[in-house]
Order: sequence, then C-alpha cells, then structure tokens
Amino acid sequence: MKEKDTVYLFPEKATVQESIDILNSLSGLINAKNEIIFSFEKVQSMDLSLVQLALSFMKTLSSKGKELQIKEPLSLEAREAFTLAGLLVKNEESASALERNLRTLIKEHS
Amino acid sequence: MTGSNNNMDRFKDAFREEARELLSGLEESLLVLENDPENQEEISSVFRAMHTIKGSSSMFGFDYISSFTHDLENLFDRVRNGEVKVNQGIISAMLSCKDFIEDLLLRDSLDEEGLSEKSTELLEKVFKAAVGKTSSPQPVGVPKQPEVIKKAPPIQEASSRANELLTFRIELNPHEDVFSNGTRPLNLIRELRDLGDVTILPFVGQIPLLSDIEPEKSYLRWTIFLTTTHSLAEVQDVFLFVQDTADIRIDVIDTPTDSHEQEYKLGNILVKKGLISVEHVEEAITRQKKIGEILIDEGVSPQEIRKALGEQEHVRKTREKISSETGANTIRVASDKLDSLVDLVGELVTLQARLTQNIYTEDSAGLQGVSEQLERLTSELRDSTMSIRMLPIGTTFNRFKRLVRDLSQELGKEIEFRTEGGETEVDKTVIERLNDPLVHLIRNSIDHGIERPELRKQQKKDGQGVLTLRAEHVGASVQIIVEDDGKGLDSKTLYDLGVQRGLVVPGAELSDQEIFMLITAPGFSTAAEVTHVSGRGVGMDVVRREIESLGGSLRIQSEKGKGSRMILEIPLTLAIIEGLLVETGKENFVFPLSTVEECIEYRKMDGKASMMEHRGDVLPLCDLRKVLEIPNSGTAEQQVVVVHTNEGPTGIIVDSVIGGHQTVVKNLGKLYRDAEGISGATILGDGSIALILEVNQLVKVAVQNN
Repeated sequence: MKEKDTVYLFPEKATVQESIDILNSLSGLINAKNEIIFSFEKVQSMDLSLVQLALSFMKTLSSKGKELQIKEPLSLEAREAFTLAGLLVKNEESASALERNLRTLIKEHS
Repeated sequence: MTGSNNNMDRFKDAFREEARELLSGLEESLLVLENDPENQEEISSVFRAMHTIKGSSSMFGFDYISSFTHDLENLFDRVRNGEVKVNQGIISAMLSCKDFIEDLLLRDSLDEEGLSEKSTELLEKVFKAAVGKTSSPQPVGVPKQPEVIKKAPPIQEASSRANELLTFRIELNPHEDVFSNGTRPLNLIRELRDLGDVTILPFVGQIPLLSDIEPEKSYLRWTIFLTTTHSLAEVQDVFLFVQDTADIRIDVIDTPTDSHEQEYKLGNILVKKGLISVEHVEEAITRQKKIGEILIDEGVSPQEIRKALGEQEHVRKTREKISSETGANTIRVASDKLDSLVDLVGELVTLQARLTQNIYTEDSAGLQGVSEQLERLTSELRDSTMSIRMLPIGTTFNRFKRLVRDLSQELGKEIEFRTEGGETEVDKTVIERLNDPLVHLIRNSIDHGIERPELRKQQKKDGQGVLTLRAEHVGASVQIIVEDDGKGLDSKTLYDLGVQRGLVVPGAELSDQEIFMLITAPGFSTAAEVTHVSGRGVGMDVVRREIESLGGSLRIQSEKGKGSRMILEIPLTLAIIEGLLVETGKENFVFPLSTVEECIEYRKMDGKASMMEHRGDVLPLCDLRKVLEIPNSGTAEQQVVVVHTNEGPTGIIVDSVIGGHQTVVKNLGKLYRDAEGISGATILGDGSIALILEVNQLVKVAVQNN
C-alpha cells in the first residue's frame, strides 16, 4: 500500500526564511514517503523566490524518480505568480496544467 | 519643399493631438494620486506621459516643451524610486504645469523670455513642493536604455509609432543578486502584461536541487513575446530601473508592414489540383517527423527550439487576431471629414426620399425594386455613419474632475465627485454642446448646493459632499443627471421670489416641478451675493435654452436639506433623426419621434376646445394652426399628436398625420434661430421644406398666447 502525504507548500503567508524552514522540515518526506501531493490552495502571498523554491522542490522530487502531483485548486495568488513566471498559460490556470507544464520543463532541463 | 513643410505640419498637428490626449490622461492620473498618493500604477503613468511628451516634442521641434517636461520627468523618476513622496503641493503644481504645456501646444511662436519666467516659476513651485527648496533637485542620471536590436523598421520609426501593433521579443535575464536591491522581476512581467498580449517562456534549467538552492538568489530567466500598440520607448521604460541588475534585450520581431500572407504549402497545391484529398494530407502530416524533433536529433538545443516555437506561436496568433479583428482596429480621422461625410449622407437620404416619392408615379416595377433596395442601403449607410460619430460621454465627464477639484478648493468645500455611465455613447456634436450647460450645473451645485464642511456637520451630514454625474440611455435619448447632496431648493422661497418678480400670480397653485423651474427664468437668482462662480441668474436660463435648442428637456427634483437632481434628457444625435411628418394648412411639420407618444382622432369636448378626454384623463390641447398663425385650410377632420413635454402629456392638433420620416436636420439661418417652437428644418422628397417642431417651446408659446 502506498503512503501518501499532502504538502501545503507555503501554508498561508510565509517569508523566504520560513519557507526554507518548512522545506527543510519536509525534505525528509521525499525519502520517507512514496507519494507527495503538493497543494497551493492556501497560499496567500507568493513572489518569485517562492516560485523558485517550489520549482526546486519539484525538481528534487523528480530527480528521485517520484511522480509530481499537484492538488486542485490553486489559490488566486499562486495562479497569478505561476502565470507571471510563465509556468501557467492564461485561461489554462489549473493545477493539472501546472503539473503538466512543470513536468515538461523539468524533463527538458534534466 | 512646400510638400515637406506640409507633411511636417501634419505631423506636428498629429503630435499636438496626441500630446493633448496624454495631458488629459496625465490630469486624470494626478487627480487619482491626490487621493491615493502611493498608487504606483498612476505614478508610472504620470512618468510615462512626461517621458513620451518629452521624446515626441523633441522629435517635432518643440524643444521648449521637451526641456520643460524633462525636469518634470526627472521629478517623477524620483517619485517612482520612492525618493520623493507625492503630496498636495506637487499635485497642484503639476496640474498648473499640465495647463502650461497645453498652452505651449497652442502657440505658433514662442516668446522665449515670457515663457522662461513662467516655466521657472512653475518648476520652482513643483520642486519646492517636492523637496522643500526652490532649486531644481539634483538631476537624475539618464538611465541607459536596454539594448535594442531591430529587424525593421528603424528604431526611430518604431519608437514613434505608438498605436500601431508591434511584436517585441524581450530576453529578460535577471542577475543572481536581483532580489537584494528590491527588484521584483514578476512585477516587470506584470507591467509588460499590462501593455498588451504576452507569451511568457520561462527557462528553469539553472534552478538547483533543494540541497543547493540559495533562496535569495535568482535562477530563472525568460523570453517574453509582447504584442502591443505601445511604442518601443514605452516598452523600454518598463526596464528603466533594472539596467544594472538584469540583462535585457529587446527585438522588434513583427510589424503591421510585415507580410501576413499564408504560406503556400505543398499539400494545398496538391489538394487544389485534385491529386489528393485533405484527409490524405492530414494523415501524411501525422506520420511526418516534426522539424523541431529532427533538429534536436541533429544537436540543436531543445531550449532554443522551444523558444523558436514559442515565438512562432505568438506571432501566428497575433496575425490571426489581426486578420479576424480588422474591424476592431482604429484609425484617426479628422472630425471635419466626419462632418462632411454626415452632410453627404444627409444629402443622400434626402435624394433617396425624392426618388422614392417620384418612382411611384412611374409604372415600372423594376425601378421600384431598385428604389427599395437603395432605400435599405441608404438606411444602413446612415446608421453606420451616425455610429461613427458616437463618442463615449466619459470624455466630457473626465474634464469636470479638474473643475470640481479646483472649485471646491477655492470655495473651501470638500466634495467627492462621482461619475457613472461614462461609456454611454452620444453624437459628438451633442457632447460638444453639452459642455457649457454641464459646467453651469456643476458650478451651481458646488457654489449653491453643497454646504461647507462645518455647516454639513452641524446638520449631521458627512463633511464631504457628494456630487454625482450620471449618464444612461433612455430610449432614443440619453439622460444626464447632475445630483448633489447639498441644501436643496426651498420651494417656498422660490415661490415668493417668483411672485416678487412677477413670474407667478399671487395665490396660484404650482406643482413642485413648476416652482423649481422658476430658477430657469431669465435673471432669476436665489444667491444672496454674486460671485465670479455664480449668482448672476444667467446660468440656469442659458442651460435651459441650450438644452432645448438641442431638442432636449430639463427637469429638476429637489428636497430641502437633502439635495438636488438636475435631469437633462437629450436626443442621441442631431444630424439625422426619426421624425413624424404632419400637415397643417398647406405646410408640413416634423415632430421628433422621440417626443411622440401616440396619434389619436380629435374629438372636441363640449365647450372646451383647449382640452379633450383621453384614457380617462383630461389632455391639454394646443392647436398648431393658432400657435403658428396658419390660415384655416377648411379640413373637417383633424388629428392630435400626443407628445410628452416638461408640463406632461400634451395634445398638438394638426390637420393630418402623414407618417414616419427620416429627417435630415438643417439649421435655420441666424434670422430664424430664435423662432420659438421651431428647432430646425428639413427637405422633403418633393423638394419642399418642413419645419421641425420643438414641443416644449411650442407649448410655452401656446400658454403665453392664452
């Protein structure tokens, strides 16, 4: 049976340092759990450094051969930040679109 | 030589027009900043307006304007940087500077000496407000512009070609330490997105794994395709302050002059020749290896392929959009050309009416068919032409923001100015003629209506009064309402003043509406003192006359202590209107159809020729023959056209109703301009003239005659 965890990346408002702390505390999960589902549902504030951290986390996950999964829905703030960063296309702003785009990008650069 | 001078004059005129638009936008932004001084969008907008005016004025030889705006641009550069905070003093001084630039634009020659004093005085005022000293602040070093690589057209050409659709490829590569000096790359992308359609391609290859990432560093870079009507200079402005923290390269990759023709593909040729089917081609294409895949196999980087595909997709979509939305593009046309077009359409409508009238005397079914077709086409042409002249009334509303601001400051009042329905479209001639009446109404509201803050507070009102300007379509008319929450009109005082001035018979019973309308009588003023703003008793008289000359009406609603509402009802257009053609004596007349409620048979009431019973009510009547002194033609049967007037429904007795008529309005000559009850004339199909009736004035004349 698979072990699952939903990771609320950047729970609500988080500074860069707080996010690093969260990520550090969660990094153990990458090895411990078989499947991690990301959620950007509660994110209320997101700037580029946080987008980069999210990307790095996903890239790390991918490097360990784990599937990238993102839970619907994305918060408005997360959608805006991912769209401006070019990771989501206008009118196609779902978590599944983000999942697909990130998978393609990470594969392209791996 | 003369030709090139003419061309330069044309360009200068175009520059003046564009500069005026920019100044109007600048004024709006300044007024927003007055209440919201931290609004970054408006701060950038002021900066951009100054920057564009500076650049264009220099290009067209208006060096004086260029130099003047350069200093103001520098100031707003510092505001954008957060070095200077916007305050009331800056706004007031900047508004004076805006007026000054507007004045400079009108001048043919510049009296350098006089101007120099004025401009120095204005700049000192601005800088004093900004930095608390009279000298100009330290000039901000002119930032170096992003590297620009142009395919075509030349840089200068593209820079000046605002309003044309250009596509830019922008390579944005922020340095690693970009965050440490407060730059937020996503905000730059947001600014680009606000300029037009963007396609954003991110490159994430440099993002390290979690164990190696340093969150304070930037790892992402982008290629952004932007299609916009903004000029190259405006796109460059976005990156004005990140020159030292990012590598930026901007290329113009598509312009309206580039060929948008479809490629002539092999498949299309073979299908056209009937050698293969479309399905055949599509099936072959699915088996075909994509060129990108082939090139990757040959060693081209997948990132470069993705960038090229992104560019191809963005440009293709933009071109498709252009070809499918050609109608949505706009062109600038001189308004006198538009007026001339409307005149020609008017002539065509008249000629077509003559043709329709004469064709039925001929016994030719073929000609009658052609005439009917021509009638339909003429009608469509008329509607299209009239729609070209329609402008959103908001263009006028925006001008009043400044008026309200300046006047309320001068009179020590606090007023919030609200506008609603600015998108309501009205014929441009109507908009132009509405300006003065609206200025009068707004000044009256501020001067006489809205009280000073201390007085309002005593009356348990909010210290800040509200003045609302609202527009909406009501049938074939537009209703414009000027409303305030001031002291309102006192009907008793008005009545007494009316009696004193001999306008009201003592003891006469008048409705509230009738009493309120007394303020539109010539010379009638309730103001205790005459100021330069109002109080001479000429404003409302002029307003009413101007509104009526537009074929409209004015109504007043008010409640003492609560406020007043002036309701203007204006026809949408003045050039060609739907009319109802009637005959009286041997003359023809036209009622604007927007005023007509219905037509009924005339039935005399016993002993009361001036009214008749209608729908269980008494309808006051006005005999057109008597009012206009037309000899009796001996018609036994007469008809009544029921119209709505300021006094309510009124029946106008005419000999016969002929029917609907497309009325091309011709102004009466100076001699007849003051003829009451007549607003214009039109030419009928047989070449004869019909007068267009103004029903409010007509009823007024009838009442006076009685």
